Amino acid sequence: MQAAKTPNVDPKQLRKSLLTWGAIAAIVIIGTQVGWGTIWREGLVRPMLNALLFLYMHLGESFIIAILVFTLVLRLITSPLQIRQIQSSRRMSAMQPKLQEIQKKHAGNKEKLVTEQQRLYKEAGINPMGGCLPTLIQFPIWIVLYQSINVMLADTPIELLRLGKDVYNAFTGITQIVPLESTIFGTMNLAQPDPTSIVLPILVGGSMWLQQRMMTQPSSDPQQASMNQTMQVMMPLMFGYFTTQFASGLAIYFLISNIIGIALQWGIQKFSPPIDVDALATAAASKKGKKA
Amino acid sequence: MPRGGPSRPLGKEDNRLSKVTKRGRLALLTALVLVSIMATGCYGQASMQNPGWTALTASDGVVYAALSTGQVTALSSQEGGAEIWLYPASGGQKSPVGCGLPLSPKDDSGESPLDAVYGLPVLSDGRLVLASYDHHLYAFDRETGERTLTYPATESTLVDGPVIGGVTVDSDVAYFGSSDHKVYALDLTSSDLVWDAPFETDDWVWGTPVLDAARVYIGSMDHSVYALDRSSGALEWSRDMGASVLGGVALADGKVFVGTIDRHLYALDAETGEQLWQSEQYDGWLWGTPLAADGRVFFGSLDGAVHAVDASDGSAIWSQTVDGAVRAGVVAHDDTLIAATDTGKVYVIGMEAGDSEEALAADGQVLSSPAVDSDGTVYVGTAEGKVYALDLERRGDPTLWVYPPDKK
Repeated sequence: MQAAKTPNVDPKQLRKSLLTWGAIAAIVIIGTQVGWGTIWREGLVRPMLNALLFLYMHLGESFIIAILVFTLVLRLITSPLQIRQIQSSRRMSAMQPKLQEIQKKHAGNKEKLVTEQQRLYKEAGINPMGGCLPTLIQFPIWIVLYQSINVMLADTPIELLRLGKDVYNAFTGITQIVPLESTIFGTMNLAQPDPTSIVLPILVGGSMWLQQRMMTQPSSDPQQASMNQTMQVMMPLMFGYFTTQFASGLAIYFLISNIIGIALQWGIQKFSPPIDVDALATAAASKKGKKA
Repeated sequence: MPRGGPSRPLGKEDNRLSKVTKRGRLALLTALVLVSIMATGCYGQASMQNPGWTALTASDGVVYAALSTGQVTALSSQEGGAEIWLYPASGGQKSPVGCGLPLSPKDDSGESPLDAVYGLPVLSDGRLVLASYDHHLYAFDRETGERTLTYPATESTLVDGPVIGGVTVDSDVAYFGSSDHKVYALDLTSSDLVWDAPFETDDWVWGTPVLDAARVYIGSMDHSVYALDRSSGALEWSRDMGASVLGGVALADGKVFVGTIDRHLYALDAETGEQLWQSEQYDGWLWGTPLAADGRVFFGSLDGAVHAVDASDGSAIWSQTVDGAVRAGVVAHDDTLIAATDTGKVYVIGMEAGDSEEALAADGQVLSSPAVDSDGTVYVGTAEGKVYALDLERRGDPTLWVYPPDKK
């Protein structure tokens, strides 16, 4: 009688999976028990809002400086993800000649082509979706930051009510700074969209385009290339449009964030050694060998 | 060997992987679009469109409401909340797409809904007077709803900021403050400013002024309370409270009562501005105009409580916890108080002991003060544009009617 085949399970991988699913289950249980709204408010909105207010109060009551420092800190915290995203993008780029070679070789057999592409990714230790994760993780931060800036620059009673409810009572200095000075350069109200409707949208859209352009690597997959191109145009246009609708304060955050992103990208491209795909494959294989 | 034969099972698997990858990209794009929609204002408070709330007043069985849709209406209580008039007649519907965009910005006569009205409207000599976030003060004929006054008449910088607080009218003069830091006195008949120049503070003025025979009292976000000469607008005294004064002040027995965001209630001498006492510190900002009655001062706080203190020394009498922030001032109804919260709850609280009873769970936040008519009917407006009429003597559900009526 033939013994049933048992799947070859890597204990480390299993532990990692169990931990991940355990964490997800814990989050879901806490979320349903405590309430997602409460978690969002107490876990993200209030800490971020109060941190911004703290920076504002201690940095000369300047919104621009507060947002600059805050963005730097946020970028610092998320920099491992950013760097991973950039590195992933660079690896993908370095693999293009090999991918093109495979494309030519299996032009008539799509299934084989995909198999070979996947094999190549696997050998080089690259997850084609790896670059998306940092972007996805940043979404909640953007939303919370957007809400915080709106509340911080409150110029309507409903926004001020949210500020009054979300500020920590221990933060006694708040009584001295509310309402926050939302006007810069004499006339520009940071709580309102850019009065020129053109300067900030162009700066935000332009800087985002540049950042996207620097980050997007050429792809041999026509579908991927087309998507990259779409994103490269759509994102700056979208954010440029948002800037005409949003508080200028948020547009300033976008601008600062883009500039830091560009600098980070430039720094990595400039100072990181070129990527050798064969070396990556060897490293991945040796890692696999060790695991086995 | 047939082409692709041995690799077929693997090919299926890889196709699946490829599909997963494509789905992932699609999910990313979808997430981007969703985030964009949420961020541009179709979600919560994100919109730059100015969200208002419903502010109302009542007299002789008619409730006058500035709705959060930007429309102003008079409703007959005897006829179950039937519209006597509506200004403008249409145009208050919101776009089904959300984002706070009006579906039809103008009605047939070319009239547009107002921008948000936060201060309570007031009735004076056949007029309904109110002020808006759009930097204007308006008067309507209370019988017909015809707009009889717009000040400034044109788009000008005469009032250079949103008007958030209410208007106080006496002897045909309307007093109000604005986010342009100024306090105005406007003759409603001639549409001329009464004072040589508006009185200027150092920050937004969001409170409703209160008057006595000689002075106008008002608080500002520059941390001060001001007493101005009623006829000239000249400063009589000012008192630095050390924190922003968001709401109105109350005047009773020669004292001015004011709450601030440092979470204290203060009493000032109305003649000199000298501070007489300060209350204990509460857990939330004090915003709504305090109510002074029978030697006590009643007020709510944003941490979800209503308090009573002794008007002579500020000592605590009672505090009652409620569900939600009490933004607006409480109002008196016989020997009880009516307090409303941002969770839509309306409470009846005994003035004597602070015992409370939930009278209504409204469908939406209640952020402005309820109105009490002479027949005892209580009216409550929500941030979603609903008006509730309540008979608090009635057992069970006190709701008499709701405007607009439920379509079901």
